[in-house]
Amino acid sequence: MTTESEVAGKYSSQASQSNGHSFEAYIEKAYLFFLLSLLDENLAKEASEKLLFKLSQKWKKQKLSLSEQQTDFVSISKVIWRQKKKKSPKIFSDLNVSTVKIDVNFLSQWMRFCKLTNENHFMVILWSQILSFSEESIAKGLEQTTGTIYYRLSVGLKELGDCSES
Amino acid sequence: MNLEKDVKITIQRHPVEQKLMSDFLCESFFYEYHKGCLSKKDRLVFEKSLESSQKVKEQYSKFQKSIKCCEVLGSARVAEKTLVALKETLKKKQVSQLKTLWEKTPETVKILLQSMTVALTAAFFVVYFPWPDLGFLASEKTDQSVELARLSVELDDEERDFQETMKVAHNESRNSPEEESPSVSSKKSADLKSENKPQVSQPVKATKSAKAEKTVQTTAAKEKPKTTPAVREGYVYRAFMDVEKIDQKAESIAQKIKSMGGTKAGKVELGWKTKGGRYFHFSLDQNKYDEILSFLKEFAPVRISKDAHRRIMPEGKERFILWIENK
Repeated sequence: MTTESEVAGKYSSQASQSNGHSFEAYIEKAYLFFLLSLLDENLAKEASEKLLFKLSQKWKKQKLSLSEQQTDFVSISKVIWRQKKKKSPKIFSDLNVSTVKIDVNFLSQWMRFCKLTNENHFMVILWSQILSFSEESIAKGLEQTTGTIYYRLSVGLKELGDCSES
Repeated sequence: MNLEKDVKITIQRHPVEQKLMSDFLCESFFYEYHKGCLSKKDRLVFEKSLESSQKVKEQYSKFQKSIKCCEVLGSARVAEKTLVALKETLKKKQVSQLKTLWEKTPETVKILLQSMTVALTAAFFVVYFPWPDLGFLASEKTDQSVELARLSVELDDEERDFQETMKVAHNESRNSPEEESPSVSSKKSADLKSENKPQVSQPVKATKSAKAEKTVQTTAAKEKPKTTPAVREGYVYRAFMDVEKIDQKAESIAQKIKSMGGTKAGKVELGWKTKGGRYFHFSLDQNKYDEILSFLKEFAPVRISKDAHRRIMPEGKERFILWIENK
């Protein structure tokens, strides 16, 4: 059977070697991340502005690889999310999304999942499965091991699957 | 966290020889299997275990649904309007950050920067502005320069005149008072043209003024130039006297010169008190020469010489430099 380090090695994507995306590519990702984590368009706008501003300040000084960009995104977005989540609505049922073209059924499933699950799980799923960040970058951004990220992903995805039936 | 650790341990302890995985272990490998990260051997074991358990099958089906959900959410597109608004806000924030930085700057630094900017602008303007193109400014500047140069020359001349006079006076004092005046005058006078040749001052009896009055021969006075040369040369009369009660005498000499219409020729006042004597530098009408000489003789014998000078006096005017010392 494969050990954790082997798994981590296999999972390390080409992202770490490649050059980073342009800054524009992260604008959409930032908004989507905060919309699906805070479930409020206004809050998502505020938070993504804050995140993008911080990233622009940090990235203008040096050219980063894709992996480094994703790591920065994860670490900063987590801090901002924690600040903004206090203001996010407690009841998610009446989320009216006008800024994103999204399938309502899957959005409902996601909202149920957010309500039930641990924040660590849905955040990891957001970064990894929705924004397509590498597990290695997420692990660095959260200062966790890659194994932990895999575990959270497995559990989180299972929970998300449960939400589809309820 | 404990659960996470347990799983890690499970992964490491999993025996390779095991034919089937437990349901729990099988479920924990859903994600690795989905990503294709399991080795061939592990994948076979996982697939076998998945087929054998209905419960695990159901769980895996849910897992696939969740993956599908994530794919759909990940492919969602944010409206262009929202993205543009975000970009604009970002730009505004960056600009406002610069403003904030300026606001945070200490007042003293701000003033320093502002004043430096003003000073540099002014300096640049002064240096690179085409001043010569403005005619009136250029002429004013030239006039000022000429005036300054003239003043400077005048001051230099005065200093030079005084030094030369002192030199002649010292040379004379070194020689015997009865003897002919020093070579300075004669040497200088050689430079003049024949009509204006300096007259050698006559020996003067310095002891008794009354007697000296008779003995002093002022050939210069007698043979003073009467014709104007074709090419005029400048000259000056240098006179020396040793008198008693110098202050009184100096004052009356100054008054006499003024009353005769004489004016100071240099920069210093008539009877300038310096280095133990009095210095008179004045110009006088040519026809007053005898009168002033007679007046001076009343106080003491006068030693007078006519020396070359760079200044050419106007027609009918004479230049005198008189040096008197206390006896």
